[in-house]
Amino acid sequence: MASELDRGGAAFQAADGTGVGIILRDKADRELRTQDMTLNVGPQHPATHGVLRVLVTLDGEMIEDAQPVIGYMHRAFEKLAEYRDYRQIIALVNRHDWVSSICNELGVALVVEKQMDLEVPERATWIRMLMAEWTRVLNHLMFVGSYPLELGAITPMFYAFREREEIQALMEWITGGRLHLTYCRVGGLKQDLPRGAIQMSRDLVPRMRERLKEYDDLVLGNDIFMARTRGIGVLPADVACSYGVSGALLQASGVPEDARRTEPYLFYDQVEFDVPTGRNGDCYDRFSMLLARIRESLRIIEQVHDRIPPGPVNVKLPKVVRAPEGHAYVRCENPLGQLSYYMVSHGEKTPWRFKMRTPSFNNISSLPYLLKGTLVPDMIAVMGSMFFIVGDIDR
Amino acid sequence: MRDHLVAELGDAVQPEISFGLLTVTVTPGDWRRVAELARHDPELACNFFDFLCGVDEEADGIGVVLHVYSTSHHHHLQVRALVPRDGGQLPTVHDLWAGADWHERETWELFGVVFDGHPNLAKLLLPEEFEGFPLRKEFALLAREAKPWPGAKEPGE
Amino acid sequence: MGLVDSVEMPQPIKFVFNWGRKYSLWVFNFGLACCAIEFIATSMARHDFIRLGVIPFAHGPRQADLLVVSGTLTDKMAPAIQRLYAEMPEPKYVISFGSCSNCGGPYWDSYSVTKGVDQIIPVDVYVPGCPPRPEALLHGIMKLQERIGSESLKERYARGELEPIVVGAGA
Repeated sequence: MASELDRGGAAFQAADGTGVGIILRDKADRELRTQDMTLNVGPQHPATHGVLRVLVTLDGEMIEDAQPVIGYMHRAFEKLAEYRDYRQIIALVNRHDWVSSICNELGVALVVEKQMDLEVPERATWIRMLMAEWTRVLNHLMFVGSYPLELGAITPMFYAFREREEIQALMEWITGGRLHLTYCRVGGLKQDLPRGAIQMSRDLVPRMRERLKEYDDLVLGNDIFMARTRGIGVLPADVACSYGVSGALLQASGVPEDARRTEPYLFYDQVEFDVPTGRNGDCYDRFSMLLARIRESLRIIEQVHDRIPPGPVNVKLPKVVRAPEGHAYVRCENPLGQLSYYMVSHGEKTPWRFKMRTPSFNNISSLPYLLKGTLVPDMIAVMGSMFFIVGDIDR
Repeated sequence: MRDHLVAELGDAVQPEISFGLLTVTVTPGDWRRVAELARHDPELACNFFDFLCGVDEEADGIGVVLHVYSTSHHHHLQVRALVPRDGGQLPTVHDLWAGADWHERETWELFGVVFDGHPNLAKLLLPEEFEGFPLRKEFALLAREAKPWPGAKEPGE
Repeated sequence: MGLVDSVEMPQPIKFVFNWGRKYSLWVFNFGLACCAIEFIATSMARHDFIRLGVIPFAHGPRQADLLVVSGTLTDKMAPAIQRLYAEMPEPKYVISFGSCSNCGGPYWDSYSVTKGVDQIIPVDVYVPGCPPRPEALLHGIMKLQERIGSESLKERYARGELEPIVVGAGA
C-alpha cells in the first residue's frame, strides 16, 4: 500500500502526453515512475444504479479524484412543464424519482394549491399521508435490497422485492397503478379509497414489521457487511449542509433535519414519530437509517388508519385550472431527501417556470468530496450508500 | 429576519413576503455581499444550500434565484437578481455553499448566465454538441413545431 | 459468417437448434429508467422469467443474446447503446420495453430525448405501457420465443429488415 512508499515524490509529465504522474522511491531507494490512470465507470455498469458515469483518476487502487458525469437521463422536464397544464405535470412528475411516485406528485399538488389558496378536504389529506408513507416504505425497501447486492449479498434483494410486491398490490388496489400512480390531483385525489383498502393496509403493517427483523439479522449483523461499510465514506454534518445533502444521508451525519418535523405539511404535526439520527455519517449509518425510517413510517401509517374521516376527496375545480400570478415554494420530505418545488406563474393554465429541486442532484454533487482517498471497492460501497435515482438527478 | 436584513443592507434589498417565503431582490452588484451575509451572519446562519436556478423574465432579462435554509434557525431565504439576456454575469457563490457548484453549471448551460470565478463552467446535463440555451423562452421545442399534437386538445381543453 | 446464414437447415436440426436457442436467452439488461424497476420485478420471485429460460445476469453485452431496452433513451446516451448493440454477437434480439423506448413516450416533445430506440437499433418486440406490467414483459418474451422457434436464420440475415411484434396489438 502507499505506506511503503513515500508519496511525496517529484512530479513528472509523461513523455507521450497521457497525463501526470509522480516519481516515487521505495524502501530500497529505487525509482518507480507511476502514472495516474483515468477509469471510466459507467454509464452502463451493473453497480451504478442506472446511467451515472463517474470518471475516476486512480493511483493504483486509491482514488485521487472522481467526477460524476450526469445528464444521460436528462429528459428536460422543466422545459416540458412549461407546455403542460397542472394535471399533465402531475402525471409526468411521477417519473423522476421513479421508486417513490406519489411523493413527487404530492409536492406539485401542494405548490399549486398554495398558490391558488385552495382548501383541501381533510379526508384527502389523510389519505395522501397514508399513500406517501407507504411509498416511503416502498422506496427504502428498494435500497435495502439493492445496496447489499452491490456488496455481494444477493438474498436481501429477493426478500425486499417480496415485500415490495405486497405493498404494490395494495397500491394497485387503491389507484390502479403499480409504479406510477398519478393519484393526486390539484385540490385532492383522483378518487376515493375502494372498499377494503384500509383493512388491507391494516393487515399489511404487522407483516412488514415481522419481516424487518429479518433484515436486521441478515444484513446489519453480518460481519462482511459491517467490515465493508463501517468507517467508509464519512460525511461530516457541515459539509453535508453546504452541499445540500438531505434526507437519510443528512440524518445519518447527525443532523435531525426532516421537513415533516420542522415544517409540517399535510397533517404530520398531528402524528407521533421520531427522526432517527446516526452518529458517524458512514455507509453503515446511512443504511441503518433506512431501516429506522421504515419503522417510523409504519408507526405513522398505523396512526393514520384511525384518523381518516369520512367526506369528499376533492374540490370542484373549473374546467381550466389557472394559478394566479406570483411565485410559490413548497418543501417536501421525499424518501430520498428534500424535494422542493418553486413555481412562477403568470396566470396562465401552464406554469411560467417550474423548478424542481431534487434530492439526488445535491446528494451526488458531494461524491467528489466523498470518493477522494478511498479505494476502488469502497467506491462501490460509497456510491451505493448515496441512495440516488438517476431520474432524480437529471430530471 | 426581514427587518434584520433591511437594517444590515438598507436600500440594496427590496424584500417581499410571498406565501410565507421571504424573497429579497438585489442588483447583480450586491449579489455576493448578500450571499456572504446570509452565510456568515449569526442571525441568518443559512448553512443549507437548497437551489439556484434561473427564471426567464423575457424583456426584463433573466432572473437568478438562490434559495438557502438555516438548519439552526429553521428559516428560508430567497435572493433574486436580474441579469441582462446577453452577457449576463454574476459572481459565484460556490465557495460559500459547495452545492452551488453544480447548480451554477446547470443555470449556465440552460440559460446562458455566466458565473465569474466558477472553476469549471462546463456542460453538466446536456450533451457536448448541444447548441443553444434550452430553457430560454425563445428556444422552441422542435417536436411541437414539426408535428401538431395529435390529441387535438391543447392542455386544459 | 458460416453455414448457418448460407444454408437453410433441414427441419429436425432446425427445430432442435431453435429450441436450444429460445430457451436459453441471456439478457443484457439495459435498464435506463422506471421500466427497469418493472424489469427487475419481473425477474424476482413473483413473476419469475427465469422459468422461461431467460437468464438475467449476463456479464456483459458480449455474452448476451437479448437486449431489453427499458427506459428513456436520451441523445447523450445514444452512442453508448449503439456501441453495446454492436458488441453483441449474432443472433441477437431486442425487446423495447415501455413507451419511452418505443417512441419517446411522455417525453415526445423533449429536446434531449431520442424518440424511440428503433431510431438507433432494430427492434424485434415492442412492449407498450408506462410502465408495462410484468405480465406484459412475460408475454413479449413468449412471443419472441415463438418467433425464434419457427425462425430460419438464413432468412433473418438475408432479409435485413425485421417485422417487429407489438405486444397487445390485436392477435
